[in-house]
Amino acid sequence: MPRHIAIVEDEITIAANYQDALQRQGYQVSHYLDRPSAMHGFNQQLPDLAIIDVGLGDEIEGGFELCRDLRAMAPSLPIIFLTARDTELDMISGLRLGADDYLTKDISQAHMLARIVALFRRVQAMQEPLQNQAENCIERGQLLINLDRMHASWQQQDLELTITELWIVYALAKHPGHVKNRQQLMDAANVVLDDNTITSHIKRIRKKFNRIAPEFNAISTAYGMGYRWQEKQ
Amino acid sequence: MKLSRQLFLLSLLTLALPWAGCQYLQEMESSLRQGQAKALQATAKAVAARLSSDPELRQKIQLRQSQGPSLYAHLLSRPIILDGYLDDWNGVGFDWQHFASGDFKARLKIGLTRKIPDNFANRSLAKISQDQLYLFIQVEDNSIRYHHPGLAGLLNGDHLRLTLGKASYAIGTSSPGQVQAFYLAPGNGRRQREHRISGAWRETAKGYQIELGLPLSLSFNLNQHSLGLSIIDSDPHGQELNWLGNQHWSESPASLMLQDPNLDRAIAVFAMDGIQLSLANQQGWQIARGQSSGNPNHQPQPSPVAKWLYQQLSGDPGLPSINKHRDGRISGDEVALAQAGIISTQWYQNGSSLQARSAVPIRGAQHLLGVVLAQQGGDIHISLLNSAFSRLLLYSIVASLVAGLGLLAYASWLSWRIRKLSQAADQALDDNGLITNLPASRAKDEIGDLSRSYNQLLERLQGYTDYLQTLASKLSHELRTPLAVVKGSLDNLQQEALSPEAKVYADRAQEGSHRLSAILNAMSAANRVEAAIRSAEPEHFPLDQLVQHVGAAYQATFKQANIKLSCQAQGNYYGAPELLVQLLDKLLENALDFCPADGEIELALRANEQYFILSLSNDGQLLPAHMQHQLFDSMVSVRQAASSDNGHLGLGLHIVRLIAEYHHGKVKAENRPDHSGVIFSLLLPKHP
Repeated sequence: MPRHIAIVEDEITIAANYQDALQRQGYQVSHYLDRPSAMHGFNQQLPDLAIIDVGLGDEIEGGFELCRDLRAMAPSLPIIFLTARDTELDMISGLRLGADDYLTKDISQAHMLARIVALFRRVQAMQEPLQNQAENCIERGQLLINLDRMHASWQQQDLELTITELWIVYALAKHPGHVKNRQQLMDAANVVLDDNTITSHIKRIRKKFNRIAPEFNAISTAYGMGYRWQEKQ
Repeated sequence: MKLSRQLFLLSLLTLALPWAGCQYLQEMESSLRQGQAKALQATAKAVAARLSSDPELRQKIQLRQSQGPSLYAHLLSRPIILDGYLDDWNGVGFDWQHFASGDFKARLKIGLTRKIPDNFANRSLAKISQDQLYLFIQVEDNSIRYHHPGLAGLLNGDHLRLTLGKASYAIGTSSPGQVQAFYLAPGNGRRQREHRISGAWRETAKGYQIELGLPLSLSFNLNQHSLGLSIIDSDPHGQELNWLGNQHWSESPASLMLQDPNLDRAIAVFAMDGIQLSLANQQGWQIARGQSSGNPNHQPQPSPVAKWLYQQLSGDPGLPSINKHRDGRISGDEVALAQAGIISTQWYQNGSSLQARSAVPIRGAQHLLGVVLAQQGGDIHISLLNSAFSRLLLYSIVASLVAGLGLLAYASWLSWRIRKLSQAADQALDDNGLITNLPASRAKDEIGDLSRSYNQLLERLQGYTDYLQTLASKLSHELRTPLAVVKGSLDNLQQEALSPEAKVYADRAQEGSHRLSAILNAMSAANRVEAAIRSAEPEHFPLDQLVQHVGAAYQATFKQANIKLSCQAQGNYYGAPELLVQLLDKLLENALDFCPADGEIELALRANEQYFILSLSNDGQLLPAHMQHQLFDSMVSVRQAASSDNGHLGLGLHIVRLIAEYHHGKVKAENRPDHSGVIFSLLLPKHP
């Protein structure tokens, strides 16, 4: 049975483009134009993944509200914000509401699909019990990243990283001590962002680590170049 | 010209106040004069009415009409000593009466003293028992002949003949000294010594002079005084050779005109307040005179300056000067008119003061009897006007001063406000093009309005600037959705089976959309930097280390460029290192773009007491002078349009400014002093 993806988007042409692309990948796609119709659809059947725009018709922040409601209905449902609003504030509020990722609309379809695949993988891995130990994992000190499950932990505690953040952490931790410049990090995270967005991603990642271990300082800044993972000496 | 000076000049207009005051004073003066003339005329009329209504007085005036070539006896204030010398007569204040016939000339003065009763009130005065007539006669005669007792004839030398009333007298002498007077009985030629007439004869260089004294009563005849005087020049035989005088002795005598004490008394009651009254008969002889007993100038005598000012004020140069001639007659246009029966008043210039004369005819039963002349000086006006003028001067000077000072103060206050406003307007836009708000005045006048409209203007300008600054991010936000449509469609198109030709176009469209997307990202970068600045958390970090790291990174990254690093300062700085790095990135980007291939870029850190100075300088194109201040504004670029292959929007340096401001620093762009390139400096305060 194909996975069901819901797109809530008031811009019909954009929605149609994604619908086509996703359907080409074999997903079943339903499109809702606004929040009430989306809620109506979700009440009848929950999708496997939701792509939500923040501004929905007349409701400037209808997407946030929808995300909150949907998260309440399905705590583990992957939700992606796809929006033209690229401010830090919007991004933070979107992620706080429980979205798994926050993307701007100029992201390419390929990057988008990679993310969707990764999210499904994460969901699937959560649902399935641990079967085989030879999963695609790396371990750096107290950091453990399971790429198959799209999951990262520090000191055995879940870091709750978004897909973008996870990929960034992975890119840094894969080669400890190597400086990764912003472009490399963007490529790894399958995003096209400007420098500031990378900086704010790094900042958020550090905060997530700090929440578990306030003394965390493994991600260091190489001024003018980028960032690197520093193993503790 | 400064506003205060303009208003000061304007205040000089208040000097028109004294002028207006002078005009007013002139009018006042002329009305005063009119009033005075009226009053004078009224007085004269009253006198005339009094005289013409009283038959007794009318009779007296009637009797004072003159007949023949009259002589006039002036009233003297003190008696004359009959010594033949002129001393007593000097200063009596009336004129000689001249007679001439060829070389034979004579001149005459006649004086009169009234009797002073011997009573207690007059104890200090010389006693005069009767009205006394004095004559002083000076004769030019080249051959003086004295009476020769040996020869025949009454008086065979030069002698005088007086005809007094009906009596005739001959007066002569045989030698200088006392004269002898003889009464000549009419008809028979008998003579008789007359002792009541006495006098002295003196010889002078040109002839002789005679001083005579006689009782006035001698001349009295038929209620009238009459006097005929003839000076006889005799030939060696005692015969009359020539005569001089008012009337020959052989004719009946002409009238002797003099002031009538009764009439004097009658008009004296009207003379007051400096009014001088005169009564003239129809022939113009003064027959009575009345003067107020008190000093007419009971007011303080006006100063010469006041008189001069008064003259300037009342300046009527057309006034005739008063006739100073004193021969017993009263002359003047007004008198002539009054003699013809017309009341008239005339103003005279009397030296520096004015004098009004009003003449009124006295009407008798059938014809006119004479003229009453009232005369009053204008000195009253002078002192009146003087005090008015000095007060006017004082008030107007005080008013001018107050107005001038007030205007000056007002002008200073006004120009202070305008200066303040213009200063505020000057400072409203700082060097970086930042708008600080102008304090809106609450004053309700035009300057307040101006300040408020400035304020409003700046607010609108601020709004407009804000709009411009956020335009880029708004635009990028708005463009993102249609771009997403394009990109999504192109992505989908890639999945379709396209002919190779179509694929080329699809790829180009794809590439174009990527570039567009990069441009949109750059456009909203400033906004994101602002967001990043808001969420930035400052920390203590070694600034020199950061600069060294960044410099090393730049040298490694941009190997083709010649980047020099010079770190001459050390120290910890409290700030957001990531933002500073971003700032340096932007500056370096900028420097790389402008630096020629063989040029040099220098990153330097220096410090002075207040600031860390982080500077990045590069060889190459200089900054246009007019752009140096605007360079850090949003969407300002000095790049040539042709060179913009990468979509420069002029936001880079705007971001630099935002970061510098976050650190309370200053950023400057200058040309190097030797004009070899430009230098961008960031001044970071050590203790913000």
